[in-house]
Amino acid sequence: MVNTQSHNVISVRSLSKRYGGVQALNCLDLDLEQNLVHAIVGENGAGKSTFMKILSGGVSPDSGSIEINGESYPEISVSLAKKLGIGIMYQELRLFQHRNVLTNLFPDREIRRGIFIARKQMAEIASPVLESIGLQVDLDSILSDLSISDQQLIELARVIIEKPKLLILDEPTSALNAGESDRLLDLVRQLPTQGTTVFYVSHRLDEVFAVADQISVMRNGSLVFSRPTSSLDRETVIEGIVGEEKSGRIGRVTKKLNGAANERNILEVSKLSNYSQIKDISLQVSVGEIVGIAGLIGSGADELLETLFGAKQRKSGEVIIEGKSKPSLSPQNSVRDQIALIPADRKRLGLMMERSVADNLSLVAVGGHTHGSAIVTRASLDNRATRLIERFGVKTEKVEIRVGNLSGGNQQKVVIGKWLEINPRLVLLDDPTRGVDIGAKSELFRLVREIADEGKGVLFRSTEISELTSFCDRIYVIKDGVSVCEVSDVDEAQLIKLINE
Amino acid sequence: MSSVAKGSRKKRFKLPEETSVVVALIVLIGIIGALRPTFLKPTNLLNLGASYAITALLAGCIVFLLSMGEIDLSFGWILNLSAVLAGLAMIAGVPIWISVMLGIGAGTIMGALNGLLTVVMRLPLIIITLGTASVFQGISLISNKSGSVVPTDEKITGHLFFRALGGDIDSPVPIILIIVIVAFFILHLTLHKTRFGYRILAIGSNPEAARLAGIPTKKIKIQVCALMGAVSGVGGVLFLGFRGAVDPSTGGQLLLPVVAAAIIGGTPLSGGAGTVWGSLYGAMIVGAIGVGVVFIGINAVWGTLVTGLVILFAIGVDQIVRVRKKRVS
Repeated sequence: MVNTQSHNVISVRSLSKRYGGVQALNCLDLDLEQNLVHAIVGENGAGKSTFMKILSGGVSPDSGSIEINGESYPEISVSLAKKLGIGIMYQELRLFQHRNVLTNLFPDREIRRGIFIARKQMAEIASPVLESIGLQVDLDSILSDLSISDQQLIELARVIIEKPKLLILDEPTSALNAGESDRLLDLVRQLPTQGTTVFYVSHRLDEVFAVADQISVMRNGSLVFSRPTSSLDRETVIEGIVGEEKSGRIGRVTKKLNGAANERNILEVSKLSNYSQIKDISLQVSVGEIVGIAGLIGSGADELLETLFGAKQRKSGEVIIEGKSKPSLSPQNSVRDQIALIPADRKRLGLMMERSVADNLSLVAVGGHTHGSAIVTRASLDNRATRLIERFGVKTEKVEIRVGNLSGGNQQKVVIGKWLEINPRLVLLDDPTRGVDIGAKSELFRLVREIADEGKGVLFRSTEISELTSFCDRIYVIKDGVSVCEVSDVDEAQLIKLINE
Repeated sequence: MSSVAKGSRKKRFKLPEETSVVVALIVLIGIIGALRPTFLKPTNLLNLGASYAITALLAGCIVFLLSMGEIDLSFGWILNLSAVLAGLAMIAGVPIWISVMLGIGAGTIMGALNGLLTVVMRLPLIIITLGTASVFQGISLISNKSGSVVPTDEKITGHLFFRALGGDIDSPVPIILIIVIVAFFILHLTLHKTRFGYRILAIGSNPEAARLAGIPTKKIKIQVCALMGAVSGVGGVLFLGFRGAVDPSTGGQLLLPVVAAAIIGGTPLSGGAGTVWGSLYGAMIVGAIGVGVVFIGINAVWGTLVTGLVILFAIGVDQIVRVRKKRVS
């Protein structure tokens, strides 16, 4: 029964998964050898996280098979993943914020002596693991008192304590600083010698090259190639990520403006800092311009928009809107100054999921805005909603329908729509295409371009490189909270390189 | 997408959301009336209404807090202290109407204090009012020296305020009931037809989204708490006028029936939705059970148990309907 694949820890054959109109995985074939660090790279939407979710038992595939240690499975349940020794560290933290470190390291598998919890034994296991990660925390400290980077390391320790055969790391360094990242990479490199195979998912190419034995590139739900790191260079990997038909997917819709009138700045930012990530960022957005903000997760690109809007506190620096310096930044002032923020997490920050489309579309015009009548009738809400829906082509049966029942793309149109009612001068878009299918994406872009063409400014942050290169007139690259450069007319490969430098 | 056009054109008759509460109320009154026909006499029903008017008024206002995702535990003691202060002022010789305004003003200040504390300390109102409830009760006990406040002077009890509320003036409908019904119209319009009400519901639906939409969430919270205090103050002076006296325990038993009335009426505890009229019907159900049990001849001791079972039944039905709705859409 010994065959040539016996040393492969995982073999995947024609694995496919569809979400509504999106083919997340498309006949993925992949063989991964035991006791190596495998990096998996690709753009957002390439299918990496779907693949990881299938392996860890969160999602069941539509078709295809998964072979683990010689055994073939049609799908992997959470309990099977546990039995097979598959551990996963998620990008989002899934820890108990109000419990102490030790409890978090042994969730639901605490060691007991009789009916009592054997604290000492657990501490003896936990301490060396924490030490190997380079985390110096008291086991009794409450999790919410720790910094985000410490929490992320605890999440890692939690998985490592289980001594998994296969460890999946999804962007593990997103909240870590350079020193902490290096330490984590050192640790990951040692894991194969302890019998753990690692899948390392990351956008950061330097990390990938520093840590991986083998790099697998995914695009559009399939494998592009899977080769040993020693035989690869950055250019080849970037080419694989981006693909040949790079600019064909979203038609290039940028346009150059001319005439002195259009040179007017809507937004001028100089030396803006906040209390966490952003340091001395300066930028300008002029009338009719769509300006991109590029940066890896944790680079501070998202915080830049939140700070400009006033959702996060400014520490220092000047923000000038159409020639007027803003003494204080707050959501209320931003509404008054006609600045709109379309947040990345629309469910948590943008929408009232249980309420109707009509109620949601009035959130800014009635809720935040102070002009107009203090009397609000059902009819006025419905009229506003009908008008906005017609303008944007939100696909909804009627305005009374719950926003939670709409598709991602239509939900996003509702979030944008509620802001357009106050006629914003500056629109801050934070990763607006997350969870939005391709058809709705291009519609969204048309909408945003229309907004810009009406003489407004757009600041657009995206985690999808192709969107930035095809859609923005200029792009600022943010790294570690600092604006490192300003570019225009770059292709995807160049931009990926800039972000990673 | 052919269903889109069809759906938007078809005008379906939609029952108001309070329908089920009203049906329950009619059934309940029907049952009691069938067993004891005297219960259905208009004078009896009106007297019953008058004795539960203050419960209803407070229920109509707690809907504002529930819609915002908060709950106030102190309003019973705000009512008590407002009534005590108004009563003491009257005894001390302050003109009646000024004393009344004083009581309402004191209630407003107490409510605003609740709101201020919840915003400054960034704690849920339920925790703040757990503390302030005892503070207000304590101040009341100090002011009334642990005894009842009873204005006995002819000049005071003969005043229009006491005669009107106490039932000495001929009116087909008790004055206190008229006042409360008018208040319900105002509360309903405020929650559902004003920017203020829209903002309250938005905060209750998603506080972060509301803040990022530019809604001054802190200000609104303080305002709603102050409104609850003001209405409790009104409840306090109404009580004083209706009963002619305030006991140290007045208001202490109001928390459960008031919140129950709002919940039975269809306002969820989760925030983002609320019905003022529903709370009126809910209060009527609570009242009908309380009085009906006595009327039928069951020992009054059973009244509380029945109220509890009805609350469980009402929220159970409500939850089933909501889960169904979600599944359908």
